[in-house]
Amino acid sequence: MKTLERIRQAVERRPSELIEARARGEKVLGYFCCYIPEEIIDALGLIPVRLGRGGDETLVDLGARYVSTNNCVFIRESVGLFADGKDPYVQNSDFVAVAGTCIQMFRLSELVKYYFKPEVVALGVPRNFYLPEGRVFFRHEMADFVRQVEAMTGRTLEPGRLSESIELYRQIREAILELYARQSRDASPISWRDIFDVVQAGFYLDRRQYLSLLKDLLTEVESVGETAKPNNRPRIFVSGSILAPGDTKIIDLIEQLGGRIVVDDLCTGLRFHKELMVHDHSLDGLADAYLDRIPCASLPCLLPLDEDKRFTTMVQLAKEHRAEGMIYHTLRFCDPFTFKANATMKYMQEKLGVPFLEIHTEYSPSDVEALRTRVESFIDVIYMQREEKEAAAC
Amino acid sequence: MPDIYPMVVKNDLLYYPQEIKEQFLATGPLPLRDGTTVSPEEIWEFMTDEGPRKFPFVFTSNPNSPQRLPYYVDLISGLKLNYLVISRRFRVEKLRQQGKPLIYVQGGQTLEPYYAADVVPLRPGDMTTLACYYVAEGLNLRNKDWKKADIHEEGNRVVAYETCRQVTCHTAIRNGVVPVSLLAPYTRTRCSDVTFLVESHRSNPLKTESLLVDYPPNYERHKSWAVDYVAAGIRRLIAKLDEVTGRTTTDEEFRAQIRAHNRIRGLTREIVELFRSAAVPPTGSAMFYGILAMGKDCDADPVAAEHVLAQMRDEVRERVARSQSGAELAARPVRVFKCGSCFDPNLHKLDSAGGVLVGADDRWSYVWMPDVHEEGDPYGNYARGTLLEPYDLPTEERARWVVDQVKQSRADGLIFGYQWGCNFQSAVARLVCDIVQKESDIPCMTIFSDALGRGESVEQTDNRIEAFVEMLSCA
Repeated sequence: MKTLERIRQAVERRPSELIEARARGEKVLGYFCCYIPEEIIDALGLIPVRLGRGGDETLVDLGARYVSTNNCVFIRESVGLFADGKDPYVQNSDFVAVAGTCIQMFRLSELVKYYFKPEVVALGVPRNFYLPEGRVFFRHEMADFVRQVEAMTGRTLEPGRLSESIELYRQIREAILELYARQSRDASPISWRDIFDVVQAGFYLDRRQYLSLLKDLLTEVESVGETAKPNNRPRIFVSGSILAPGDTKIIDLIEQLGGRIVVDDLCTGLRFHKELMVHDHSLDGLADAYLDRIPCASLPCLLPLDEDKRFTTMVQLAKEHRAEGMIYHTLRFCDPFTFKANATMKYMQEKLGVPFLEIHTEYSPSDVEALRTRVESFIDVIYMQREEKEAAAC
Repeated sequence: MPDIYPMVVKNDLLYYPQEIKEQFLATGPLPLRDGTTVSPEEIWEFMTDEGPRKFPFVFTSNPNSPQRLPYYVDLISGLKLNYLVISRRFRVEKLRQQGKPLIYVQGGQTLEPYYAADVVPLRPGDMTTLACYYVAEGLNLRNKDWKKADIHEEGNRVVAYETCRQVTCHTAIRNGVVPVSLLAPYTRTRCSDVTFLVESHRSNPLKTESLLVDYPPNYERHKSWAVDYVAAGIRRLIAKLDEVTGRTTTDEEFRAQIRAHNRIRGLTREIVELFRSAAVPPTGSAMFYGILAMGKDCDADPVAAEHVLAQMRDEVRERVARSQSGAELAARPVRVFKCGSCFDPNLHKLDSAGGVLVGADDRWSYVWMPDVHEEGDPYGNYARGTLLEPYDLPTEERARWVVDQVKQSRADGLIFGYQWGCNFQSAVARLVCDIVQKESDIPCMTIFSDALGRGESVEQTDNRIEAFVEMLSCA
């Protein structure tokens, strides 16, 4: 598709655009974690860039000099990005913001600040996010975050600008959700992989240009219509730990082995955009919206599983996108997702009865062949279930 | 009268020597929180007969056991401290019979709200030990370790094998080995395993209820809303504890516990200051660390803890005045400061290698939290105090506090240890070590270990510690 190619080219150009923008006096705020509100960054006239990459063992090793092998590879690689200093987005970040959602992420902010000296601002996210006192706390944290960024940048958040930014992001989210809905149709001209890449392009591109490209993509998808031949590959839901840009090991395997990913709830995928609705265009309204989004597993939830939005959303997504199996990907020492793998498996099997595969891995390629066997078997199981269902229907 | 007495070894078990019996009996009865007392005769009987019979793994003479008693008695009051630890199961059971439920708490929090609500708070380490006391009567060290390993492995299967060893106590709760009524820890920033392990109880077959008091990770002193947030969490906690006990905790009860714990922490700091003032500490590292633990957690009984610590303070003062050093310490021991989380190496081996522990930044830190204001709103006051516990401060600030402690304790070296599965202390190990090295110019070593609570197969950790002490002693 032409628009997909335009998006790819725009991403390639983006580092040099950032250099030029900074030469003009614009400032870039690089951030970690999807609880950092881009609306505020945009409304302050700053350029938001989501930092962090995955899949590069060299950077993991470099980062491990500052953290430890008991930390997840994403954290190690993220520290490695700063130690290496060659990532264009790290290079061009005038400030760094980190949300204290995952405590390892919070530690990352401390390490980066001490060793690599960027100006860092942290946003506290309450672990008791579903309690009234958590909401009050987060509103205060959001206001404090704004004060700190204002102090660092010498800019002031104006309510009108904030409202414009909120509207911009609403449109971006709406477009992404529509693309997700289109890609999972039987005879879709675009794939989940295309949309996943598009979501990640949005971490870097100018957001107004990005919205324009999304609209063009939707138009193009609409004009192409459905493909002649439906894609009948096993429909797979991918969940779990972050799949950061560059970390394609699992996705590649699933696709190589004949699976078709139709939905995810990853923080670098659908969850980045889904159910983030700002009803009140104020700072408090924005704080409430971010707190009410589908929670990250790094926020503990003691509510019954049927009231846990993370679990209920998984079931809803699986049904909406007619997933036939779930691959739950966990990074080694990513405790938030790893500790919940068994509970997730039991819940999903109870509610949906679909096959579930947990893949616990790192960025190292050393386990690829073992994973290949497991994914291949998993896909075979889905085919077998299909046959059983078809036989039962006859 | 000698100042040290060797323990008697019989059938590979350590027994308190008869020569100290009269001195010990003169220390008087031990008051307990329920208003009763234990006579010194009863304690002596327990520690010389019932204890060794029921819990031989504690009384073992095996030098590899980190939890063993010292080979010498240098503090008579230390017998009472050890009694509190070893009799935990019986004391806790008695309290439970009196309607004081067992509550799971986190290792890194002070316990005023729980004692105010008249419950029995136990942190993961204590609860794991308690589980051993429940399941391991009559077992030797190795068999006790195997029993514990069984529970631990089951926990790994239920949750994940990347959990730290505190999963053992969660499994003991899940299985009903330890009869816990509520899991109600703070989230803290020192550890997140505790948070996700508590969350895992949503599928607990016993339906044990849970609650988390959240502790903001990025606390800074200007954040009054963080104080309000923690205070609201403490209110929710006490309301839940009241629901469990069926009583109502008053503000005055909370204030009374704040006052008691200020006194207990103060007593502990006094003992620490006496240690620091001595050329060679007056007792060994294991006893010193036991004092720090008692000063924070009180082993389920603040009344008993205060009594024991006061006696220990007086005895330590006398030993320091007489320049009596710890029985198992070298003439000029290498002074070691210990950092990290839940890192409990064999301190007897540290001593025998020529070292001595002079401080730590786990239990130590909480003993050194500022006194909580005793008048007015106890919730706000306590929240303000607990947010200033050094160990949970932002890491650079914490590291500078460690530097200060290293200087005050005249430490020769620092060991930063963390356990398998601990993502958070491991993440800051280098940062803390770098700051300490830069600002206090002492060697620092990082140890990654998976030996927490294990009695055997800990040689690798022991070797590294011994080599570190040897290196420092030659410097």
